[in-house]
Amino acid sequence: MNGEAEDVGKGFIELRDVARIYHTGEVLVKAVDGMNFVIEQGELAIVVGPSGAGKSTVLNILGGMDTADKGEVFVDGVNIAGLDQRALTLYRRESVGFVFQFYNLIPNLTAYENVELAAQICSDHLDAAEVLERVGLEARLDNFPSQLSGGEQQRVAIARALAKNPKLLLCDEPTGALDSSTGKTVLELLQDASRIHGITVVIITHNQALKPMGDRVIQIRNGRAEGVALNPSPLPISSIDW
Amino acid sequence: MARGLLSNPFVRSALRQVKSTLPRFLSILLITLIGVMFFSGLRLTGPYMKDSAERWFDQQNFMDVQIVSTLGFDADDLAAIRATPGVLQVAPTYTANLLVKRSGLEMSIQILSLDTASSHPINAPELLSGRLPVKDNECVAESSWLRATGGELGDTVRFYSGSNKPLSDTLRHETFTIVGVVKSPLFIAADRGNSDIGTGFNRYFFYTLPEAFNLEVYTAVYLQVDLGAAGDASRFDDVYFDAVAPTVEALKETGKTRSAERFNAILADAHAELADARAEVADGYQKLADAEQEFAYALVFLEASYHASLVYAFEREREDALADLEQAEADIAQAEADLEELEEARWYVLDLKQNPGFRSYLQQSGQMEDLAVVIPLLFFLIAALVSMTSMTRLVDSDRTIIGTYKALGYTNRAITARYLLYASSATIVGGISGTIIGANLFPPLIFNAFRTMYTVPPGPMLFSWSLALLALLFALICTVGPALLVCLGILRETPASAMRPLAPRPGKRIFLERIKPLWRRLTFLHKITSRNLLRYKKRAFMTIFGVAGCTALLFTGFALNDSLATIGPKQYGNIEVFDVAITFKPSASAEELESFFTLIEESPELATYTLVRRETAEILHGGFALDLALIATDNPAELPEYYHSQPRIGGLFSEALALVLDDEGVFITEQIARQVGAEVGSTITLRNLSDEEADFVVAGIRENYVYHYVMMTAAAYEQGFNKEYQPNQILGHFNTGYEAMPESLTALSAVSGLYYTQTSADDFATITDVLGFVMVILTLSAAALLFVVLFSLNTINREERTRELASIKVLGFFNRELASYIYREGLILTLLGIAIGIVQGIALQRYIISTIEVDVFMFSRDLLFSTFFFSIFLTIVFAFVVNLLLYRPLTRIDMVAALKAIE
Repeated sequence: MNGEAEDVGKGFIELRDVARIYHTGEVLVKAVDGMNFVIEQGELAIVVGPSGAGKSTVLNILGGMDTADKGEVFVDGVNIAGLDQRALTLYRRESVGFVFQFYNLIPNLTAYENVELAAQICSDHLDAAEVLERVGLEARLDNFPSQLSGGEQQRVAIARALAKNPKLLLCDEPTGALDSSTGKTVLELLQDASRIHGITVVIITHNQALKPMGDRVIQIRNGRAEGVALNPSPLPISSIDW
Repeated sequence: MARGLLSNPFVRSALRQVKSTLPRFLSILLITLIGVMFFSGLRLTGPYMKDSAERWFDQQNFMDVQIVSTLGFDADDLAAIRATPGVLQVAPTYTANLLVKRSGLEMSIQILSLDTASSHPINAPELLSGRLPVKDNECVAESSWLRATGGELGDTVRFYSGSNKPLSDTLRHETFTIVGVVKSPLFIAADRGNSDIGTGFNRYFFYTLPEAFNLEVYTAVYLQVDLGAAGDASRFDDVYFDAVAPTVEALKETGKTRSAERFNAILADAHAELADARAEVADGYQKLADAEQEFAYALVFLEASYHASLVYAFEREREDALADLEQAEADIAQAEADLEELEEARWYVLDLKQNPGFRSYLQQSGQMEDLAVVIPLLFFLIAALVSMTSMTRLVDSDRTIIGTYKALGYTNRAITARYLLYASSATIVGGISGTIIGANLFPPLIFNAFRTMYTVPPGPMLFSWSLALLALLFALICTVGPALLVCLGILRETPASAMRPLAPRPGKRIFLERIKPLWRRLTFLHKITSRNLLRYKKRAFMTIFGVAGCTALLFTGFALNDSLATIGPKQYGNIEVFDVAITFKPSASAEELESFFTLIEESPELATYTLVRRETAEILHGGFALDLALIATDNPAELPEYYHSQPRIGGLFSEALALVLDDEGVFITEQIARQVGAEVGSTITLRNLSDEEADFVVAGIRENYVYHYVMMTAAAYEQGFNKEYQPNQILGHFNTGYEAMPESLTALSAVSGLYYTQTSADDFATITDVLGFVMVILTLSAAALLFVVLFSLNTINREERTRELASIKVLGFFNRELASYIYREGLILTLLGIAIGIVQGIALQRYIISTIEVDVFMFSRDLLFSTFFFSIFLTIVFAFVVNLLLYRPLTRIDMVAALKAIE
């Protein structure tokens, strides 16, 4: 969007002075105010902070589901804060995969169809069956979400995100509704996405225990990034406990 | 108090809920309003028509019974009538069917005597302008006479007897001055009954003083009957007719007794007169014989020279006297023969159903009531269904709030009250305004349209508490009921589970997937749509039913409009294909007839013509008689070129299909067949105006829309009625460029009537406009209902599936794709609804036609392409507009908020 070299972000993702203010009635809630951080391509970034700190807002802005009121948000060289609705939709369609705490699968579609629904609208998509195989659900292709366990549903959600072959995988509390062992399977898949497939993965969590698995850990408090720590040797999921 | 109530947080929260869900609140309110409005409005229309008439009839002291007699009523008859049990008030009246001339043409009219003796006369005409007659050469007319003649008060009108009896036998004057304009309860519609002269039916009525009549006996008696316990019953109720019936029977008995007495009296008088006459004749012969004798004596004394001339003179006188006497004898013989044929008087005791105006008003107000049974109910059902769905959805979407209130310790009653308040306030406001609008809008609107056909003045607005309460109660059940049920269902759960939103409906395989070849062929999104359609069965059903109902109503509206609108064009364009009918008097002198036929032969206007006999007759069937026109021809092969005759084959008219009469049987119209239950091969009985009856075999059933016809050959006519066939009408086709016969035609005394088909076609358009107007109201209301139905259901669909739609949006669906994802389902349901609605519409139209058909018209059964097109097209347009209106809210679904909610 912006051609001038000095304005282009340094990293794959860069937030500069981002603010998001909600108007509820007469009260202004500054969910995010003066947020700055950078994430490099292919990294697995853990954005961690207490609830209400503004993590989800950051994720929503990064995913093009919400727009910043102030500041710039560069993703792969494009300032998505300056995009209109249609361009944001296109961005979500082609570049971003989402994984939510509550999966948000379409209840009326089978596992396979849920993945296919996402894949068929983007140009450079992967085969739905293959992706489901990758997340270990080759036996559950024809099951509806209500016939799957929570962990399985979340794996379908990850497959749905991966099938789009996104540049960026955004995960909002992906293990929040899962027990520890199921959660680990899910996190492994996310780590693989970054390790094996080179996708930039951003995981948002309030769970401090996940910090060791990230290449980069961004601590958020009161709508700001309070600290960024690089982790040269992240731990494999299996050695993390919570 | 109010302040205290408003400061209650519970009430405040309830009010806030109304504010925050205003569109839903309004849609429940609006749909209740439309349903109730249509229900109560249409339901009240028939009663309003009846009530208006009833009030006016009361005011004019309308009769209960009318008696006419073939010999009139003398003082003894009247005394006998007064003495008959049940008779309250008696108004002996002079009536006469006469002719008037309007722009050269003769027209039948009825002139009646005013009841000047009573202070509260029966059938009092209402004076609209001018004054009532005070002199015996003054009369009052109806406004349509003045309009038709372009006349005004003070004009004179001349009456003609229309038969070989001089007018002076009936009236003391030939011309009367019109001093006032009236309308009469006896004649509220254009149909004024039959006449034995002229065209066969009366067009106008006049009133004058009884002193103006020169009749020995009264010709009609109007009376009022003691109704006993049914005294307050409306004249339109069966109770009323049941109460009148015993008196009618008693009067018939009186009639029989009196007829016999009158007959014997007349016979005795006649015999006495004849005896006198015979005595006179005998006396005459005696005198003649005496004279001859005297003459013979006289001759003896006279000179012979006188003899020859005297004898000659005497002989001549004698011959004259003899001739006179012979004539007198012949007259006596004739009188004796006549006396042999003298029949007893026949009394016709008629209740109100035999009054043509009242009867058609009774039928049409009854039609309105019939129409108001099914259609408003359908409206109401659709409205109920939608408000039910809306209310269910509202409470369902509030389950977490309900759970919270419960967790906070509010009682079930308090929590439920909140939704009951919501539902009942929307319903009561909508219901009350609907009742008020409906009751004040529909009845006068529709009645006003009917007033182009009837002279009944509008009465005060009606309001029926029971109807309003019934509608309101039912509406309340439909909104409060589901609110209560859903709310109690949620309250039965634990607060914790109630605080969690309802899990979305799980997906299921559908039967379509088992049909592999078909399923494989569907695109991915179509598969989703098919599955979604069957997933939300309840809402799919609601949408289909709602759309179907509205489409059916739209279709019915259009179809009925067509049924009416095409009657005229079909009747006058395809069936009565002649341009002009000229009625003449076969009884006119040979000279007059010759000049008439010469004019016809030489007329440049007429291309072709044929001669027929047309007379008014009745078909007798069970207890009732149906007026009809009898057409007889001695040229049956030509008749189809003037009256096209063929069985109804769905709007297809062709010369090739024409039926041709033979001497074996007659053709009746479809409407006659339906009303008397006749079919080809049945025998029907006809009675002509001279009370002669004849049986005929039905040989064919003709398609026909206006009035009733029986057609037969001259030979069949002669054989049936046992009298000579005399043509009295010419049916003609105009040469191109001509549209009227010359004035010189109507000046001929042999011509008694001239009728142009075009005039009827034009008149007919006015009548059908009236019911067409009712259909416009129906169509508009159906459209409004459809709109609200689609709007509500679409909104609910979107709201219930916000999360699903948000998920799809997050995946990167463009707005258009998102819209088509959800609209495709709606569209398919709408199309299904349309298909079902058309089927329902056809059935509904059939049903309504069969209930509201007037006996004089047959409604067209053909369905026009435009009916299908417009009902389908309008439904689709409405669906499209609703989708367009809801497009913005759809694109504005907040992904973040929708997805954040816990599951």
